[in-house]
Amino acid sequence: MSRIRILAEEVSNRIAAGEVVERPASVVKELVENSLDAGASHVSIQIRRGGRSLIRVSDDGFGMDSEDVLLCLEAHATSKISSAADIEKIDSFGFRGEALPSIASVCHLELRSRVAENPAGTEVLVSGGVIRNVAETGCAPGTSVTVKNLFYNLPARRKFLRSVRTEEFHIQEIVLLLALANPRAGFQLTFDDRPIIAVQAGNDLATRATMIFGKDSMRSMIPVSAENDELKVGGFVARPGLTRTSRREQRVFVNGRPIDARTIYNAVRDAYHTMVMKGRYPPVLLFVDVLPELVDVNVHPAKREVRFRHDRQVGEFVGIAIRQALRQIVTDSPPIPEPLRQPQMSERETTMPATLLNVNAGIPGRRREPMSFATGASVDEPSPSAFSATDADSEVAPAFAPRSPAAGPNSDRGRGTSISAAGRDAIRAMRVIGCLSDLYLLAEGPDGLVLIDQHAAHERVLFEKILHAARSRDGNRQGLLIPVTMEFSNADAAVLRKHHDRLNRLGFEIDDFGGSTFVINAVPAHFPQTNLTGMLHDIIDTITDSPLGARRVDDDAIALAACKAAVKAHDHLSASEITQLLQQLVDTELPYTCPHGRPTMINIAFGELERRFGRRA
Amino acid sequence: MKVSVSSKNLVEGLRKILNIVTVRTTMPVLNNVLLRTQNGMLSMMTTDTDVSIVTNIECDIEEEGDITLPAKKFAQIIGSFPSGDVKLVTDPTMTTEISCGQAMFKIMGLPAEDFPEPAEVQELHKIDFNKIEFGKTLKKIGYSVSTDQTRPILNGILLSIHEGSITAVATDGRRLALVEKLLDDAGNGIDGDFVLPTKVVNELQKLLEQDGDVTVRLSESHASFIIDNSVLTSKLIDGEYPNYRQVIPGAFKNSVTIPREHFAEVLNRVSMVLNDAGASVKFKLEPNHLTLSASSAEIGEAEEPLEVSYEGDPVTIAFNPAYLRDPLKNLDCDDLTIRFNDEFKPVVILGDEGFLYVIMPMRS
Ligand SMILES: Nc1ncnc2c1ncn2[C@@H]1O[C@H](COP(=O)(O)OP(=O)(O)O)[C@@H](O)[C@H]1O
Ligand SMILES: [Mg+2]
Repeated sequence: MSRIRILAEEVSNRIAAGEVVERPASVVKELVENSLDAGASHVSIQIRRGGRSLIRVSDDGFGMDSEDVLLCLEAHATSKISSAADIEKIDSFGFRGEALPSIASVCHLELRSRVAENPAGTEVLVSGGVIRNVAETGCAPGTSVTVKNLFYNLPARRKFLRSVRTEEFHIQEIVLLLALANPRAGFQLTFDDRPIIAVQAGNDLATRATMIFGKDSMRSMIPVSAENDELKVGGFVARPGLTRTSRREQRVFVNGRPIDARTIYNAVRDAYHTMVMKGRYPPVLLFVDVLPELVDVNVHPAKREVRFRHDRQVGEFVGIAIRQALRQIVTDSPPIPEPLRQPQMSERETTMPATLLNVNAGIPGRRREPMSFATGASVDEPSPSAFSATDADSEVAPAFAPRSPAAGPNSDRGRGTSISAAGRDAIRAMRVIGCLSDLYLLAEGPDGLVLIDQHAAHERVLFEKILHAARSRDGNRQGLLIPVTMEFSNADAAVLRKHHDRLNRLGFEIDDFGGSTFVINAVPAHFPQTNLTGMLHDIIDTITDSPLGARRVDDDAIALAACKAAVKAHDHLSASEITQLLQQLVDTELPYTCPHGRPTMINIAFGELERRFGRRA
Repeated sequence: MKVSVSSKNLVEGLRKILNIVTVRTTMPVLNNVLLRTQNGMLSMMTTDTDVSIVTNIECDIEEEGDITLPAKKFAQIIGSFPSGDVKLVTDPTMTTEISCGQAMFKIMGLPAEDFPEPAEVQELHKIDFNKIEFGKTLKKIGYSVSTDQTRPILNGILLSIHEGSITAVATDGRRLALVEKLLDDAGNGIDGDFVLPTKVVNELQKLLEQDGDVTVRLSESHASFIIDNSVLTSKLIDGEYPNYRQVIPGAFKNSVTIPREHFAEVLNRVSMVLNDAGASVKFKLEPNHLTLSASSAEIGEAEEPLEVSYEGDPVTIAFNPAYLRDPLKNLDCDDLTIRFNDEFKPVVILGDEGFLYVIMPMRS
């Protein structure tokens, strides 16, 4: 008797399911993609218990007739390609025709669908891959797929599902990516009837991103956009100074698909180069569009990876676009020109690259350089830091010659590294000559007048201090002799309860008195000790504003919130406080920018002053 | 107004009142000092509307009158004069002639009518203290006052008078200092809580240097201090001071006595390895031994033992050294007694008579 058997279809589907259906989030992804492929203009996603008990995706797409409803449950049944040649230019999400059968084999599935032409729709009930019932049903045009009891027949899988929250987190991330990638469609996501994401069809990317990430977060992002015949990149990148501990917030879409694209990650890393500390990742939201024939998406069944035909060019194109965007934010001449003369420095001293600060971008009247990908020789042969390649900028606009000859963009500044020992010395050597309405410190720098944003400088100093303390986790907590009683709104109270453990780990001891009343009994000793109430409110706001709740709120965010509250209290600085502030600023890792990426200091060069006073043309 | 006054008295008087003046653009008259003849004296006053101070100095009055002059400039001019008599003569155009010896200034002033009068203190209570003792009390606790503007009630010193004793209290929520004293005449039956803003406490301390008495007048909303020829008047901080008695543990399991100055030295030495305001110094107690230690990743570590009288169980308690340094610096006693229950609960330090300090340990 032969040992080899053809597996029953439902068994092989169940095996395939392992690849496609990893967790509830992957089911959501497949179903939503199907809805989008069906031309839906609104997709609603309803989740119960993190997808364990229910996932329902309903759309208003073109639906399926009674025949297709049954056909779509067959393995390799797809309406999206018919020949191998089609694979070459896929522009739909699905094409393998294996998602629905795979999902259906590991749950209780209910599929309702109706094409607009027919007065009635069809309903199919499937359990464990076996069709139990088919019936005519009344329903709106479109499709609704309900997945109940996911993995009920794969106990091992079911056991490996993580907590409801974790699964929700993954689902939210998937929907968020899909919502960002598909501006034509509206999305609605609920967890146990709580609205999580709601965007309307047609909202542009900026609106969508703001609705999803919150105004504050978007304020720290700057737009990127560049285009040529073959490539297009758009989206947002973080201002220098805003970073995360993981790559999670580097969201990249290629031709509308969220993708793990090493090429792009590397381009981002190189573009920020010295602006980002090792092991930190600036959040980005990037959309790269490539001609379909120049990209291969069929690399991984979960389709998170792509292969670009011209990998290096794509990377360079994206890198240049980001650098150009970053340069736009430095709207004035360099804060301190001194570091430019110092090409070599140690690794730890990374910060705003001298080049970035020195390029005269963003000055009114400056012409933006058109992207010259694939033609410009400089692009073919980028320097390792890639900065020198784009220094060609100065040739584009010779009218904007460097203001300080010694520090001009054409001078050799090595690999565009950062504040040097000499740069720090230059800050130290500055002579503070005054204070402008308790907002800006005025100082005499080596190359002119330096204005220091007191608030930004203070924030940078505090931020690094708090961050350091929060990261080291060895923080002492200071008990309060007189505890602080706080009242919160119901929503804030809920956030506080939810993240109680995390705050506790940071060093807060907060007693829950029920209702909206809490009592703070201890605070992290390294945190600012004043305005505790304000600080907690700011931390809660940060958590609330974050797209995914505190799971996404890393130490950076908490540190940022904590220093926000503390800095508010400071206004008028005495002479000794000024000296101390500058000293502390010099000792930070990134003294030129505040944690939000705004500059802490700007320099008005003598040349500029001379020009303004008409002493020099 | 036409008066003649000794430059030394003027300088001395201005020194007492000048600090109240803050540079304001909204009410320019507050940048000025009010000068007026009153009861045969020259009365000088400054105010920031919350706090005001009047000081009276002897003078020869030729013609009664009043004027306000830019306070800082006036003080600067007077301070530059050699000792001798200064003549002040105002004319109806608000110009004041200031002359001393050969020097003559004409300074523009503002009318006295624009100057806000100090609040009338509806006297509820009146109480006298010895100046030096009162000043010392303020010094022994003043450092504990909170600077956190979000908890305004803690931005001052509480004077709590009950059942014939007065307790002066200051706390920033992490540590608390108090001095308690019995009052003569059982305090004349005064009963109440009064919170003095830090600014007044600071000004007051300058006026309390010499021997003699200070008379304190208290109302629901104001306090005034009459010291020799000066009167300092201030609003009280509104609100209810936290129940400080509640944070003082009622009983202690352990007690250790340490010589104050030696202890301060050791503490300062050991904390030299710390570079962060949030760092702690550890106190390891074993029978008859106390070892102070501290460490930081950036600098290194330090340790130093002290002989102490201690009989309890071995225990380690961590403190913010800054919170210990303050009382050590401001006390006079030879020995301190530290009382505690364990490493988590509030710890009490006793020293000078009537002084008590409560501090919350740090924990990790
Ligand atoms: N929401 C939907 N609306 C209309 N048609 C759908 C929908 N979901 C699935 N289908 C049909 O079912 C087929 C199989 O879907 P699926 O198994 O996901 O494979 P694929 O998406 O790779 O084609 C699709 O090709 C499509 O024709
Ligand atoms: Mg599909």
